[in-house]
Amino acid sequence: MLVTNGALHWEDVAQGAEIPSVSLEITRNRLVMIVSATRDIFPLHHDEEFARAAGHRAPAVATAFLQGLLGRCLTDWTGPEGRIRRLGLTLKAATYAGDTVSAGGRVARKYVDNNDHKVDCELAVVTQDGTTTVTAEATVVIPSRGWDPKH
Amino acid sequence: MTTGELSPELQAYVGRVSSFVEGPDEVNKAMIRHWCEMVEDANPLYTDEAYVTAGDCGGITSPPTMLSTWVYPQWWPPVAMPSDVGPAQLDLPLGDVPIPAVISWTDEYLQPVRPGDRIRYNTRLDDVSPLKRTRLGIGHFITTTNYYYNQRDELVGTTRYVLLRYRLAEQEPTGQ
Repeated sequence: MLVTNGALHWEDVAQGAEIPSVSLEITRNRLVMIVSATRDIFPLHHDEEFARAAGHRAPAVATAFLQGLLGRCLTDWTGPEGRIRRLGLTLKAATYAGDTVSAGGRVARKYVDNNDHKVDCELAVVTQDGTTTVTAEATVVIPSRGWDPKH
Repeated sequence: MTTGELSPELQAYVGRVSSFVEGPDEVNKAMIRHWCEMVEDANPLYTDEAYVTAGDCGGITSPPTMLSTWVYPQWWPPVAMPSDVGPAQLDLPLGDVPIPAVISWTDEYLQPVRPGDRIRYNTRLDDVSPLKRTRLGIGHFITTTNYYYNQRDELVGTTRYVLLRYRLAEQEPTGQ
């Protein structure tokens, strides 16, 4: 595996450390990209009238988008050597077209499991008005200096 | 608030395992790029041939979060999906609960998924709740697990869904 200069190593991760946020505005264009990339054409995700009839104020984006955003948040932090092993989302509120979302979190725990150097992360997706729409837990495996082929 | 016990009729469905459904396309670089565009993900494992070649990474890898996308059914021409596949479990005799809402969605990623792979999956119905009153409306929580395999019959990942299928209560919800 290629280990990029400056890549995050397990030894450098502290419990409680911040996982930096990534933010995106869900513009109309991005909504179209979400529908296209996730393949999810359920009308709730793009149709205002359908969404209102279901009790929502606007189209609610597909959960797969939020997964993708959280996945990006994790590997932006670890670098490309990080491997996401588990990602679990709990949906607290709908995330709507027009919102600006930020995904970030903190390190909950680090440990070695069967030679894998693992980090458990607690994450959240928060909108521009401070609403937490998703909480998430993730487990990532990141390189250890002891196992790093360049060391 | 639980409004009753789960009926024996519904209980009998718990534990069933569906037949397999294969994704319409093999894993491919174009759909990976569209995914990366969606969330502006610059991870070179997903799109940078030079990086993965230099790093001996075994080639391009699909973003793990795309797992369920690889088996999303084609839009046209329509294909008949078995009603026992996926989180909605549409053939369950639940009555008038037309609106689905994902409550939780937990993926485990066990093997890399790469361009050229063919992904298929089946679904186990893990649990159905009795009818409950929730902040969204009145409905049943349905817990299922999707098991995804590649063309070598390797389990590449799983998704455990908790889905609420509900109807609106008499009062309108508060906008969530």
